[in-house]
Amino acid sequence: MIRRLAPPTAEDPDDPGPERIYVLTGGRGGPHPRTRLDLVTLVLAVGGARNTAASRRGLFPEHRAIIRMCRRPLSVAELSAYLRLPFGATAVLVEDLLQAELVRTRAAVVPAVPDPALIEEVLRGLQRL
Amino acid sequence: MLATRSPAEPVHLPTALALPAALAFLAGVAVTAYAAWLRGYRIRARFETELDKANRPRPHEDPQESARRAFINLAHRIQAIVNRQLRELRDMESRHGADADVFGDLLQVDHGTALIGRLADSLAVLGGERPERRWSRPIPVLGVMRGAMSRITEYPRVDVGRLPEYASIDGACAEPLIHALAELVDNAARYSPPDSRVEVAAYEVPNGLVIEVLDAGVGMGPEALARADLALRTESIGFELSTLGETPRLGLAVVGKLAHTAGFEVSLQHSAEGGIRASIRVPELLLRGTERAEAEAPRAEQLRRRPAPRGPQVAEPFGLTGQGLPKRRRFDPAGEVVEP
Repeated sequence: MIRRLAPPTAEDPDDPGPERIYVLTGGRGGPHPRTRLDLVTLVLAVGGARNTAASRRGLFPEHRAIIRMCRRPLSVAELSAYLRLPFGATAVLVEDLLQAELVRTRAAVVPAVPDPALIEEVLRGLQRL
Repeated sequence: MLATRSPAEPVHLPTALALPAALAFLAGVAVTAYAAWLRGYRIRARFETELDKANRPRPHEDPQESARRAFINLAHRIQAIVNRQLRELRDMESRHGADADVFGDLLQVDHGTALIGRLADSLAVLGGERPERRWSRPIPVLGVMRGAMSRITEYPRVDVGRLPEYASIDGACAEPLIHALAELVDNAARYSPPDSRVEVAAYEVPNGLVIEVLDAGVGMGPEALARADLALRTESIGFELSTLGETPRLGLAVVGKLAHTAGFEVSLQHSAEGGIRASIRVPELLLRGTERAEAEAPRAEQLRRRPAPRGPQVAEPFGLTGQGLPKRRRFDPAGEVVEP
């Protein structure tokens, strides 16, 4: 039933379209401070029975895109870049999904820093050589 | 005794040329001055004619015509400022996205700007203008709905119901539809209890698409409904402030004008649930198909830039090419790693 009316107009990647961000976030500028989401928080989709089509009803395509992308852990910063949305908006969408229990988050793994005492010990050993 | 110059004596060249040169110079000055005066005279004459034309009511022109043009001119200027500000706000929102307080405030300013924009658009439409804004790509039905929600005060009360996900409206034709839908959703939210919800949904019909707005208001009396329907159908509503009356009819007059110029039909009925059901019937002509990947943001080409997975994923077995090298893999929008 779908047919073309006119030759496609040149797509302008900077044309954000008619939708404004507050409609997506419900006017929220960021997640609740208790949610503790930052740029490097890793987001992972919850698989299994919970993540069914029924539980995903009422989600925007952006929510569904996050679920799809987060089959592997992905940081909020990366999600934000892929969705071309500011961090605050992406974090709000992730928060929605957290509340619906469709994703879970974990803090980025901080690389383990060896004990400074050990480093000093090694340094002294090297100097003695 | 005066020495007479013999004819053989050479004439001093500057002396000989001084007189003709001076004459030529004077003539030049005179000609230039005359030309300048003539040009000035012509400009003045033309200006006076224009001024005269502008001041004199044209015999064939409605006396309201100049008022209408003035209103449209103002509306266009507001639209230009609003559109620029909306673009700038988008940039600011990207820059300050990580600061929840600033970002939240920017969203609020963004919303206010969009509301002003809709008023300016309405003014232009009532003045008989077709919306000029064009989008550079087809707008999915959801985009039309959220675009309309962006321009009303009470957007958090609006629910998006079922809709055909892969249908889009041609980018050049979407603007009148978005504006009309915004007016209808605004009416629905305004004339229903403040704690009730308004639903926007869409479904395909054999020769097009129907977008519906359902409210849980008390409905309208048969007379009011007939009046509203008339406002929608009266194409002749011009810029006659005396006939426009209060706000709801102003909104409906805008919808009626947009429907007439853009080629869709709007009707109001009582819904089975008690409120009002406003339906926009969009002809097939305005529809465009949408690629599945496009409907489901983000687009595939963005995801192909995804960096190689780190951590434990790297240990996953790669397929090997004939040369024993790992095969290229890419990340597709469905979230699967696919072998090309």
